[in-house]
Amino acid sequence: MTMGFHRPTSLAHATELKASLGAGAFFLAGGTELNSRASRLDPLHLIDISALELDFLEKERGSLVIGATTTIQELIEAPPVPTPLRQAALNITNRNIRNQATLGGQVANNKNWGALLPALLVMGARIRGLDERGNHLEMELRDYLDEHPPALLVSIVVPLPSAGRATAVDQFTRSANDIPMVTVAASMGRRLERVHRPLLAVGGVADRVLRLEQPEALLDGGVLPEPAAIRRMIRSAISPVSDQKGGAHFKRHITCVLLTNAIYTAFSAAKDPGTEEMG
Amino acid sequence: MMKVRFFLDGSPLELQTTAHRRLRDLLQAQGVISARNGCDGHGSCGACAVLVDGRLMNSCLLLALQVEGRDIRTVAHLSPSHPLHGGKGDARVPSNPEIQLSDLQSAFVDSGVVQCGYCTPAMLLAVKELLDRQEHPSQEQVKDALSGIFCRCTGYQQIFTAVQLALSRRAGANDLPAVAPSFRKDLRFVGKATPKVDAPHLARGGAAFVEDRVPPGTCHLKMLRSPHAHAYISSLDTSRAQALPGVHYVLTHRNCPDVYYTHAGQGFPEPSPYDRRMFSRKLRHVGDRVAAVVADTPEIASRALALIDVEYEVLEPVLDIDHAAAPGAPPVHGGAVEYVTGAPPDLDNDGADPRDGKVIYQFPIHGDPRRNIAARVDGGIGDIQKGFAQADVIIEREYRTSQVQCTPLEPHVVFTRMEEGRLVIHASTQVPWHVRRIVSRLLGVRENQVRVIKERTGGAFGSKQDIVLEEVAAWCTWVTGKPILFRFTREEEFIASRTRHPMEIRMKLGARKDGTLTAMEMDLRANTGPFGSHCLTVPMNACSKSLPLFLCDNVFFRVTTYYSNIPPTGAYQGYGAPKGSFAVQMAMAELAAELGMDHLELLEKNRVRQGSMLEILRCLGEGREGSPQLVHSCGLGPALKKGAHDIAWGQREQSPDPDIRIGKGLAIVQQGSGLPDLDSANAAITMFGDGTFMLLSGGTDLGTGLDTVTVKMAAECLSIPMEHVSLVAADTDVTPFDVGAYASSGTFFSGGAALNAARSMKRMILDVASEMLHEPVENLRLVFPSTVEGKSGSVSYLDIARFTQGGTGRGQLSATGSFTTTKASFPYGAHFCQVAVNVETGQVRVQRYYALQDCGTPINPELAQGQIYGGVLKTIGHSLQEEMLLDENGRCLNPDLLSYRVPMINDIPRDFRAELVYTDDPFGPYGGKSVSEISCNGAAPAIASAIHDAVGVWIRSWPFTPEKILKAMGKP
Ligand SMILES: Cc1cc2nc3c(=O)[nH]c(=O)nc-3n(C[C@H](O)[C@H](O)[C@H](O)COP(=O)(O)OP(=O)(O)OC[C@H]3O[C@@H](n4cnc5c(N)ncnc54)[C@H](O)[C@@H]3O)c2cc1C
Ligand code: FES
Ligand code: FES
Repeated sequence: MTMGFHRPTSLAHATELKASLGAGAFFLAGGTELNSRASRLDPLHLIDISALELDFLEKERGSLVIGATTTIQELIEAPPVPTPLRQAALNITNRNIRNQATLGGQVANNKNWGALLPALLVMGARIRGLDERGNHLEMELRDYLDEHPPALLVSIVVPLPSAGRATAVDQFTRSANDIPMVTVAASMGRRLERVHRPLLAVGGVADRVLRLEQPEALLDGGVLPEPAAIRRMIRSAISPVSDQKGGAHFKRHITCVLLTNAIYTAFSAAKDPGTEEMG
Repeated sequence: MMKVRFFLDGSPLELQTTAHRRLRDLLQAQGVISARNGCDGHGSCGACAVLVDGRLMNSCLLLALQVEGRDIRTVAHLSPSHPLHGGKGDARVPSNPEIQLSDLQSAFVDSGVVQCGYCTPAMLLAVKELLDRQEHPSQEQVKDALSGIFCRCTGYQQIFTAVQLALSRRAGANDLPAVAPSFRKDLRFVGKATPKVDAPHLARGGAAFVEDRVPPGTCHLKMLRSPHAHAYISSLDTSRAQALPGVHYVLTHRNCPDVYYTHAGQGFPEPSPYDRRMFSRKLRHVGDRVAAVVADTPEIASRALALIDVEYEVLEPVLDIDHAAAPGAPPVHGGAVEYVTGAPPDLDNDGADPRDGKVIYQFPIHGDPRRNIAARVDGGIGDIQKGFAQADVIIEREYRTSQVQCTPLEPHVVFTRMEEGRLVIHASTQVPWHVRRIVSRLLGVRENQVRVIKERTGGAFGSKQDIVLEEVAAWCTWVTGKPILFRFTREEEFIASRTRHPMEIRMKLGARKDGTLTAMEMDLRANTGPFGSHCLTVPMNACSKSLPLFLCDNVFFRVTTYYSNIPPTGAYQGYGAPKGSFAVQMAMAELAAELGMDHLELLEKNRVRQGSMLEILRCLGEGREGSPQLVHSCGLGPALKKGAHDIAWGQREQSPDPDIRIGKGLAIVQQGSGLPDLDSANAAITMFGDGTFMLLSGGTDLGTGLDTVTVKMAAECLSIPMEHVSLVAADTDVTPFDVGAYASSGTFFSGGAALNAARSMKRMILDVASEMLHEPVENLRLVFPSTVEGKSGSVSYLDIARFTQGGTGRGQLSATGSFTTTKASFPYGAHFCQVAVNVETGQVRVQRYYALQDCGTPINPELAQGQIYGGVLKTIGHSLQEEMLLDENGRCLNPDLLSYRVPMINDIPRDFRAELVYTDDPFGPYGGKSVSEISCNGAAPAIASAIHDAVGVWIRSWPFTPEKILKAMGKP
C-alpha cells in the first residue's frame, strides 16, 4: 500500500527522489495503471510527475517531441500528430481512460498489448529521459522496451514521416473495450514499385511488443509478395503462446492476417518520392 | 495524512487524505454519492466518473492527491438551482424534489434512458463534456463520449434520442423528435411516453440505493470464500480473527443456524430443493462460504479474514455435465435426501455422508443427488415415434450454451439493522416478501418481526431473485444487534452470485417435404452448479417458452439437471428461454436449409397464431400439472412481415471489403406474462385530503419502469394527472404482498393489481359522488382532471375528500386490489439481424438488429423500447463476447467486467431498432403484456443463422467466437 506521495517540481528532484526511495517508488503519471485495483504494481511511494510540465508537444528538426505526460486524448486532439499515431491512440476505445492515461505511462508500462507501441516502433520513435543518477538518456524506443531501464521518461520523439512513407496500424479485439489480443503496425516507403525500408511491429505474441526484423529484411527492396508469402514470413517469425485471449495457433493466424493487411495498406498508401516529383 | 485542495462543483474544498486514498472514496466520504462503484476500482465501468478540469475521468483511478488545485464537477453541478448557476440548493447532493432538472437531465428522463439509474450521473457527465466541446455531435461522437461507461440496462440506444432531444430543446425547435410511438388514442397516459416516475430523482444523483441508506458507524461484513471447487473443511480456527480489536462476530458452519433452505426466491413450497445451510462443512464451488466476519471497518474485516486458519480436504471437482453424469462421478451432494411430501418408496439414504448435509425436496422433482441429478422431468403430446415416421426429413443437432453472468452495475448489497426489536433489511432484491419469509424461517422468528424495504435497485436481471447475502447479514445483525452493510465485490458477483445455467440441448425435428412439422423432440441437460436454485424451472422454461411457438401434434421433451462445482447458477432475464430458444430456433433454421426452404417461410408455415390452442403447456407446469392455453393475441404475423420488409429479407448484401461476407438471420420469440395460477400481486390506494392519492404497490421495480406502470394504471383509471399519485412500493411493512419481480409478471400482475385497486377506488368515488350530486351512479362519469360529472352538476375529488373525511363523512376512501389469473397472455416477437463476418479473422459485427415485439398495449412505450434494447444487447453480448472462463480447478479466470467483456456503447449494432407491434389482448391491464425477458430470446439464434447465411457454417455453441467460426470454416 502506498505510504508516501511526492510531487517534485523539477526533473532533478524527481530523479533524486526515485534514487533515494528505491525500487518501491514509482513515477505516477495518469495513474490508470498504477491506481487501478486490477494492477499488480504495489507502489510504496509515488512520485507524481504532473508538476514537471511534461505535457508539451513541439516540432524539432523533422520530429515531433511529445512530452511524457501528454494524455492519449491530447495526442488525438493535437493537429501535428501523424494520423497513424492518432489511429493507434483511438484504439484505446475508452475515452475516460484516454482522458487520464499518458503517453509516457503507455511506454513505461511496456505491456505487450500497448495500443501505441507498435505504431511508435515502426515510426522509429526514440525516448528521452533521465536515468537514476539524473543523467540525460536518449535511446531508441525499441531498446528502451527491450532493456526497460528505470528511467524517468521526459519525452517521446517521433520522427515525422518522410515523404511518401506510409504507416498502417490495426489490432484484434473481441469487443469494443477489450484489451487487444494482437496489435500490429507496418510502415514503409516505396521506390520504383518496390518495398523500401519496411518496419514491422507486433504486440501480443511475446512478452513485449516486437519488431519483426526477419520479414522486414525479406521484404526490403523487393516487389510486394503475394499475401500468402508474407503470411509465411510472419508465421515463422513469431511464437505466441495460448492464454485466455486465444490459442497460440489462432494468435499466429490473426497476426499474419492483420500484419499482412497492414503491409498491403501501407504499401498502397506509400508514394515513391521520385514519381511524386515527376508527377 | 496530507492536505488536498480542489474545487468541488465550484466550491473550494480543503481535506485531509492518505496517500493511497482514491478520489472516489474521498468524494463518497464528503457525501457525493453519485460517484458510484461498479468495478471495485478497476477503472472499467465508468460509474464513478467525474469531470476533472472539464474532462471525464474515473474517480476510482485517481488518487485524491492527484486532483490538487483542480476543478471537479459531479452531476450536482448540472442542476439549474445549483450555486454555479446562480440558484440555491445543496451543493453536493441535490435530493430536494423541488430542484429542477437541467435540459440534459430532462432529456434523459423524457427519452426513457434512465432505467435503474445507477450509471445515469456518469452518463450525464459524459454528455455534458461532449456538448461543451461539440455543439452538434454526430452519433459516432456520442458513442466516443460514452465509450467508457458501462450500462447493463439500456442497451445505450436511447442515449442518441436524449442527446437529440436536448439539442432540439436548446435550439428552441418547435418540432421535437418523438421519443417513442404512441398507442391507444382512447387513453390519456397508457400507451404514451410519460416521464418515468423515479427518473428525475435518479437523474439528479439523489439518494436512492441501499448504500445511500447506510449511516456512519455501520459495521461491515466480509466473507472468506473457498479457494477450492470441491472440498471439506477439515479444520477451522477463527480464534485469531475473533481476537482482533474491532471484530464483533465470526460466523461459520459451527455457529450458523442448522436449517436447510434454497436461495431461490420462489413461491412456497419451492420447486428448488433445500440443499444448503448458511455455511456448511462441504464446499461446493470456488467462492463458497467458509466464514463471515463482522467488523467496525472493511479493513478490519479483511484483516480478520486473513487470520482465519482453515485446512481443506480437497476433492475432485465436477465441472461439466458429462463428468457429473458419468458413473462413479464424485457426488456434489452425497448427504441424506429427504422429502417434505411424496418421498419415493425406494428412497435410500444408506451411505449418506453427514459432512455433506442434506437435500430436502418440498415435493418430488425426480432428483437423484447421489448421481448428481438435481431434477428430472419429461413429457409431451401426441406420439413422437409416429411423428418421426410421418416425416420426410429428420434432423438431429446438439446446441450448447455457456455460463454468463448478469453483471448488474450495482452488485448484490444489503444493509441490515435493528429497530425497536425488529429486524429491518434494506435490500436490493427482486423478491422482498420471499426474503422476509426465508430470513424469518432461518432466524426462527415470526414474519412480523422482520421488515424488508426494497430500495432502488441498480440492476438485477434475475440475479437478485436469489437470496445470496441478505440472510447472512440478517442473522449477524439479529445476533449482534449491530447495523451491518454487506456488499459483494465484482469478483463475488461472478463467483458467488447467479449466472445462466450452461445447457446442452439435443434437438430432433421431423417434417414433411412441404415443411409441415410432424415431430419435435428436445432433450435438455442443464448444469445447475453447486445448488439447485431454479434447477427444475429454468430448464423447463427453456422448453415451455420455445416449443409452443410451433404447432406440432407430436412433441416430446426431457429435462435433466445436474449438480456440479461450477459457480452457482440461477435466474437470469429470460429464465432458460434464451437457451431453449437458441436450440429450437436454430434447429428450425437448419431444418429449413435441409428442406431447401426459406427460413422465414418455414417459420410462417408452422408458427403459432391467434386462436391456437397450446396443448403442450399441459405438461409444462412449474413442478405441477399445467393447463393448455388458448392464444388470445399474437403479433407474430405483422412482426414478421414488417421485419422482413425492413431488413430486405432474401436480398443479398455485398461488402466492398473482399474479406467481409454479409448475412441475415431471424428468430421468433415468446415468453409469458407471469405465471397463471401461481403468481399473485396486490395493491392499495387511498385518497388524500385534497383529492390526490397514495398508491401502495407490492410491485418490485428493478429500474424497468414498473412503478410508472402502476402509477399510470391509477391515473388512467381515475382520470387524474400522474403527479396526483404518490407511490410507495415493495416495503413489506407498508405495502401489500407481491410475489416479486420475476417471470415477466410486473406489468401483468403488479400493474393489474394497481388497476384493480384503482377500479375499486373509482367505484367508491362514484358512490360518494352519487350521494353528493343526488344522481344515480349510471349518470356519472369521471372527467379529467379529478372530477365526477353528472347530469345536474359536478364534484371534484377535493370536494369528495372533504366530504368523506369530515366528521359526518363515511371515512377516508381507501381501496385494495389484487390480481391472480388462470389465463396466460403471451408476448411474441420477431428478431431480424444482419451480420458482417470477416472470413479472415472470424470476427462478427452485428450491423443491423431489429427486434419487433408484441407486448399487447405498450403501457410505457419508451420504457418498453428500453427494455428491448437492453435485453437484446445483453444477449448479443452472450452470443459473441461474454463467457465465464473456468480453469480445470473450477476457478473463474475472468471475474471482472473488462476481461469478461461486457458490451459497451461501441458494441451496439450500427442500426438498432426496437419496434412495438400492437395487439389487443383481453387479459392484462389495459391490454398490457410483458416485454423485458422476451427480448433476450432472439439474439443468439438470429445471429447464428445470419452467420450461416454469411459464411455457410452453423455455430452451435455460445459464444460464437472468431476462433470457432474460423475452425468451422476449415481455416487454419
Ligand atoms: C479500463 C482500462 C482500459 C484500458 N484499455 C487500454 C487499451 O485498450 N489499450 C492500451 O494500450 N491500454 C489500455 N489501458 C492501459 C492504459 O492505457 C495504460 O495503463 C496507460 O497508458 C498508462 O498511462 P498512465 O499515465 O495512466 O500510467 P501510470 O498508471 O501513471 O503509470 C504506468 C507505469 O508507467 C510508469 N510511468 C508513467 N509515466 C512515467 C514516466 N514519465 N517515466 C517513467 N515511468 C513512468 C509508472 O511508474 C508505472 O509503472 C487501459 C487501462 C484501463 C484501466
Ligand atoms: S468504479 Fe471507477 S470505473 Fe468502475
Ligand atoms: S440504467 Fe445504466 S446500469 Fe442501469
